[in-house]
Amino acid sequence: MENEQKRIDIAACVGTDTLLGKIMGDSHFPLLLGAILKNPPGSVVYLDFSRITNITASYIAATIGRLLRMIPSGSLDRFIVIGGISQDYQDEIAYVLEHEHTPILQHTTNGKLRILGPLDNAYAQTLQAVTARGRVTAKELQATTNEKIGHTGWIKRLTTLHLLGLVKRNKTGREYAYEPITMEQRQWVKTS
Amino acid sequence: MNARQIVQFHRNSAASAATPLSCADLTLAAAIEHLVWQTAYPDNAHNGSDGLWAALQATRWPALNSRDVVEGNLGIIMLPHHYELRWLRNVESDLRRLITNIGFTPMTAKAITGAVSEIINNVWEHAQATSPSLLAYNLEPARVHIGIADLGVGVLASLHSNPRYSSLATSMAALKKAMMVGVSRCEEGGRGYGFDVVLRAIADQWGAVRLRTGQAILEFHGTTDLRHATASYGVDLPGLQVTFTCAATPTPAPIDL
Repeated sequence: MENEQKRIDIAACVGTDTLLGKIMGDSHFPLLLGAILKNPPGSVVYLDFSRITNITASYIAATIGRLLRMIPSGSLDRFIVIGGISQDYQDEIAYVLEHEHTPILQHTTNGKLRILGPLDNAYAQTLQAVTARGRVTAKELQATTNEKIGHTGWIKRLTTLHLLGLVKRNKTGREYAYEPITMEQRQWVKTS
Repeated sequence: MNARQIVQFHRNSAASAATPLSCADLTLAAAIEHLVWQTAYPDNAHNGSDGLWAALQATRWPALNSRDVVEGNLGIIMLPHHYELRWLRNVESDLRRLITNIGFTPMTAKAITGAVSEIINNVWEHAQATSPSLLAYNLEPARVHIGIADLGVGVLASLHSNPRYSSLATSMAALKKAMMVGVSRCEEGGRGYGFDVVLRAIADQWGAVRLRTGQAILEFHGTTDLRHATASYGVDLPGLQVTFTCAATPTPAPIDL
């Protein structure tokens, strides 16, 4: 159940395909949050924007930006992935995320996940290392990469990625093992 | 004079010299600011009445049978006092369709109507206006002019309600501050994108934007950079008036606001 990915059709969830301004964002936020919280803690939730025709920066900040701010504080224990993003407003989302200093995982049309928004090179490389290995601990990364980073440095990077909602983690003995968020279309379950 | 004639009037500047002055003689920015001025001073005919609506009725803009005039490519629409989802959605989709019809790409039309939506949201959220605000547009082939005016508290008073900006002393300082992402009268995060969206839409579309609040006038021509904006001063006006114009193709000549 924990690995099951849920799809939320944004247009169906909020009842409109046009997402304009902060006031609308504020009124839609509880609907989005409610739909996300229907999924179990630790699950991956896919926000599908494919039926959205227009979206503004203030709306993005009031909804996606607000959701992402909840993740590091621990008040939203879900992994958010967005997808179905039209080229018309993809830059607008990236622009807002840049100003909010927070990245998000985007499911692209070729079926891969990528980072939208700001992420320092060191963290991006760590995320790539986790993705390449599938499941890894800080100790294993230290042992298998050429980077001159100590054990504590790897722990810090991995913990930050987890706080940003970009990797999952599970306790294995005295360490945490980190694994990438994966999207498998066949596992989507429509929740709205 | 109906809406179509006014559009013609705008196009034929030679005719304006022989015709008594009306809002139709002016560019959209001047017309809107003239309406606001009509409501602002005790000696003016429409001071204290139903604000922009009364001032609008007294002009030679289209004969008004209802509160809204939408004829062809000219529209004058009174904003609801408060946020109305259906109204905003309808205005955005109608305007998007019209802008696409005059030669803009669907993507550009979305950016422009997104900018309009942001300004309208700002009016509802921050203006604290007691009389109706106004949205006007005038569409020409490959060129769109849009203005939004309110008679609210203005940018300076709005930002003063945030202690962080209580030291701002002039409307110009407040207006320049409000152009920055993250600046808002509200402290919470994720705020202050409204003007930025407008500036980017204009800069991307070979356009210009004029913002008017208090005595401050700020104009951006094809740039989002505050350092390249033109600052000037005029008679003190209430609220905030935002007028912008965009072109579907590069325009070598200066754009009239």
